[in-house]
Amino acid sequence: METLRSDKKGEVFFVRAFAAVTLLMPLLATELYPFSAASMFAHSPKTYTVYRVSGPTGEVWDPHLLGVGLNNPHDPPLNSWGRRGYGRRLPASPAGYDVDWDETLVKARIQPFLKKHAQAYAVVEGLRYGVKDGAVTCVERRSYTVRNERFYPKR
Amino acid sequence: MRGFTLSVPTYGQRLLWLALLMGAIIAFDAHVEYGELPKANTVSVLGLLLPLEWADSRLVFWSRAIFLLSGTLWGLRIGVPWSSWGATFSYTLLISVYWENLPWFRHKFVLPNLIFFVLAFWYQFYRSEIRAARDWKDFFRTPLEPSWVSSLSSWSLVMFYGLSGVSKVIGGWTLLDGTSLQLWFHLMVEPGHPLREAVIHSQGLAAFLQTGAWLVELSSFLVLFWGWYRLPLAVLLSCFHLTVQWTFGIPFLTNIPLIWAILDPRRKEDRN
Repeated sequence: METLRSDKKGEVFFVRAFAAVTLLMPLLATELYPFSAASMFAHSPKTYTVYRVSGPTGEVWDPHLLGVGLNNPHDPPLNSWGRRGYGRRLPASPAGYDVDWDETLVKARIQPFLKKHAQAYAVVEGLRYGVKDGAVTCVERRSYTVRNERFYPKR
Repeated sequence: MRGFTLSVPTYGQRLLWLALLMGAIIAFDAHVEYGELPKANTVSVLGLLLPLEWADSRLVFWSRAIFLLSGTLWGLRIGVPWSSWGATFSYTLLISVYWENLPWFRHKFVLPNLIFFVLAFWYQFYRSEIRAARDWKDFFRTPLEPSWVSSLSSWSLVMFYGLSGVSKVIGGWTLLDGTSLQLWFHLMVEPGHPLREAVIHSQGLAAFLQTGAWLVELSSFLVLFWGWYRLPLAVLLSCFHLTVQWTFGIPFLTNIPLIWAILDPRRKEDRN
């Protein structure tokens, strides 16, 4: 039986153009929807830092509500064509991958919460995890208290 | 020999129905919940063309509604090729608006979108033949599916998974030492999960799993040369998604039926 073949005008051009664009756009732009290199997990952090924050009664508060949570656990920020980050920008958090300690930012994030909820102070515990001897372990820890400036005005 | 081989449209039409179904399921995940956050970057082609003020919840509602309506018509071969383009562009618009308003990325929407474009172009180029075959009620016995429908669908899948592997190489070879996977397991996998303790206490196991997943993604390129690899790749990618869902809870399950429909391991001829 004879094999039917088609040769419509523009068909070959479309096939080549589609193949080229879907190959090149993700390589050049990483993410420009619908072109995507599916870059999730395409980074290699060595540590991550998180914060555990509790109130005077010992109640543990949600770090994301306080603005000290770890954002974007699996999508590395875009870094192509002058773009850095994502479509929208979350407020900077002191928690993250391979970050330095930032007590000033932690205090700036927690202070509004303390004032709003009339809490005297918060106990902050910063935990940095890394891999030591082949296993995940807490490699560094920092603890301090953030006082409500309304209750304890700065001198 | 010039031109593309034509065959009866079972592959393309089955893939179309499945892509429309998967697209309809995930279309309900799109929203503009983070629209109050400051705008950072343009992350979609349509974002380069449309004013940001348009990207609101009304646009999400209407683009989803148009996608569901035109997708249904397309699936029934009514109003083609306009319904094909209606579905393809409304889905692209819906997800572009979603991405533009996200403080991260969501990649499960990408593969169906690429497939919609391939199939919409098929319906565009073969609109007369498709309409005639439909009117004669002989659609599934008429050779009107060019070989590029299956080869470009496979190509889209290969680009999606293969380039994901490439992006990890660009991210640095240290990714493969297992450290980052151990940290992600520690951070994101629920305590008590059967795999969590094993991974966070064994860098060797983490490196094995991480390298394995990376090789599976990269190996997608092999189906461009070896047709026999379609079945192993479909199995490996399905296992990969199921494991990611089981551990991290990242939902890519709608890609699994698409992987099997695109690679179609039962297909005898190798038209890659």
